[in-house]
Amino acid sequence: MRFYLQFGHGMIEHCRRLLGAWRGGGVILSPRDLIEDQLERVAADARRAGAEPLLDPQCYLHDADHHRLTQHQYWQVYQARSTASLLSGSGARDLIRELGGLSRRLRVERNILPGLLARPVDDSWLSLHEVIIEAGAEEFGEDSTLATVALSVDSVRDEEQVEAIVERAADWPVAGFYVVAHPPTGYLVEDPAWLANVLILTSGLQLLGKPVLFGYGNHQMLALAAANVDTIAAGTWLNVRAFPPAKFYMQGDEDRRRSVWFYCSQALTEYQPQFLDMAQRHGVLEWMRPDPTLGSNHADPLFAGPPPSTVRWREPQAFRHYLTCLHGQCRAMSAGSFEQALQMQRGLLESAQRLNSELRDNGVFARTRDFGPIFDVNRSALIALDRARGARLRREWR
Amino acid sequence: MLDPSALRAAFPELNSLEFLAESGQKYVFRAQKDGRSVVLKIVRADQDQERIDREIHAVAKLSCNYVPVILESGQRPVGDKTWTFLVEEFVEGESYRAVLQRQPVQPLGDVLRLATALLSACCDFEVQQMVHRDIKPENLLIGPNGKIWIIDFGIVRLLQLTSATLTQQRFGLFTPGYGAPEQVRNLKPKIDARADLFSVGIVLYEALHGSNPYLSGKGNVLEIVQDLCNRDLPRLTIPGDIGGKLSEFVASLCARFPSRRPPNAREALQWFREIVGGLGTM
Repeated sequence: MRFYLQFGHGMIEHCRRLLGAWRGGGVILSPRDLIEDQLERVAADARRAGAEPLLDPQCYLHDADHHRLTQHQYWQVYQARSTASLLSGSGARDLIRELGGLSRRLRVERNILPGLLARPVDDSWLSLHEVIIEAGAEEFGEDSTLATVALSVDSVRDEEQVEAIVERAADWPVAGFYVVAHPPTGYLVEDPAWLANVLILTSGLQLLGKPVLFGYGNHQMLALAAANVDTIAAGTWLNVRAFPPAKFYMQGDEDRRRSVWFYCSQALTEYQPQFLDMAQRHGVLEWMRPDPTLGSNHADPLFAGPPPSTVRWREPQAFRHYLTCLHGQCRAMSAGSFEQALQMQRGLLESAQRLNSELRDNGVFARTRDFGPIFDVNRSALIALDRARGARLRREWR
Repeated sequence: MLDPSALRAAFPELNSLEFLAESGQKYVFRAQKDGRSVVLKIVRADQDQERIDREIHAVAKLSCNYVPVILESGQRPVGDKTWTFLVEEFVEGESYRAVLQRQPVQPLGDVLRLATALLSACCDFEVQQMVHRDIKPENLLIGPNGKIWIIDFGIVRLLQLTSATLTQQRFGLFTPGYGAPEQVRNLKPKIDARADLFSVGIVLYEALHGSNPYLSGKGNVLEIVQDLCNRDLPRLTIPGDIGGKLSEFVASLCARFPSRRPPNAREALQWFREIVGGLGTM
């Protein structure tokens, strides 16, 4: 499975360094966070590093008012068009034409088409998207478009709505799918039905023979490797690790409280440096040393000797460490069969849960970012995936 | 009821007319023509003419080893009314419903033979862009030599024609407990070969399990429909099913959502053949 960066606030330098280090991958650009000059610059930097830039038009909410998003020309065209105009086709063509100009200036090779947040998935929503897809095919050609599937919490939780998308998507003239799903909570999801349906949706789309890219993800979404998803994307702050409709409104502009978290990939859990001090005190800090195969040296200072909380280790290093580890974990999740993919997931969850538990026994707690309550959520969702799609995934694994 | 003398007068080429059955749509007779047994189906004058024509059109162009051949069709006056008729090949056999009543849990080898026939027939329907839409034990005949026949194309859907069932109708035409959810709910664009695969899956499940779980313990059609649309059947445990592959295949056929079933009849048959090869029972 591949890993792309989900662009968010303050990520220009992260993109440059990480994509340069990885010599590949990709970045999903955010008009909500970048003016056009910056979009062009980050896209060019990505290409120089051998990575793919993609542009997420972020048309999820027609009434979004975040000033950085709405100052883009294509957004002004979008907001000026009524829903009726979009549905009739003329508004969709105007929007796509404007977006096409921007895409060509950014020189993106694949085009993420606009998509509204489904609340719910019904005939109107499907029809609107099919109009947009048709306009996208005319502007860009079918072979370079990715249909956006953006789902509200309730839509994700409804199997009927999820399967309705898979049925209709079989006829969409697109090259792939870009899926974003609003989680019931702000970050890690404790609802197995939500995650199960994300797996069922993405695997259903993947079985149509086209790549699936899951946006606004995090390490819990490593499970999507079992759905044979091609790429997941994640970013630095939590609002680019879980899809947050609120961030597209001025009122929802993020509260970026300063707090630094160390991602222990072996435990699938993030810890504050103060708890690494406890790990050191009880002689178990070495258990948390990053797996060298994941390629991150960004957390080395925490293991250099002094108590971790006393070391100068701030968000930039923490973010780069998290993203580098996730990049490595995604690569390691590539499996030759569905059965192998399931085994890898079970193995990952088992070993992570064991370490998570042993660390807790030694007073090392993760507090609000503990994966402890999540292990069984992922297990349950994987069983649901196997029941729903396992038979076909075993036969049609790519 | 038809006047027997008027019927004989209308069909002078047929001898030994013998009444067999009457169903919602038609009267069925066995007869002799040119020394061979045939079936004469007379369709009620008040039935939907478009649907009747579709049945005839569909089966007439079908090339399938498991479907009786239509020898002649048309309209003739019987008495003072005009009737639509079909003369088709008579096939000897016992309905699969009778077989299941005698022995509710069928031997695995027999079920595999049935599956091969039904899936092969679905492939033939698919080639003609046809959906039978009423595969169930009552519409399957088992001949004395084990030959399997699929009969009654009364609610067939031809995918390239406009559907005879009004799109606005909340429910489509179906047999409770066997009709696929998308067929029950009249979701037109979704009714393709996968709807027949669902029905095949239910028949196989019933033969392996001993009953149709969607019918057991239900008081009315609404309860059956709600169960079928909202609940996947539990996985079967099948003696001799190495690795659970047959059970997984049957579960896939019976999936509530079409996208969870094999994508088409050809894939389903291929998949099934691979499983049978692994079981080594045929």
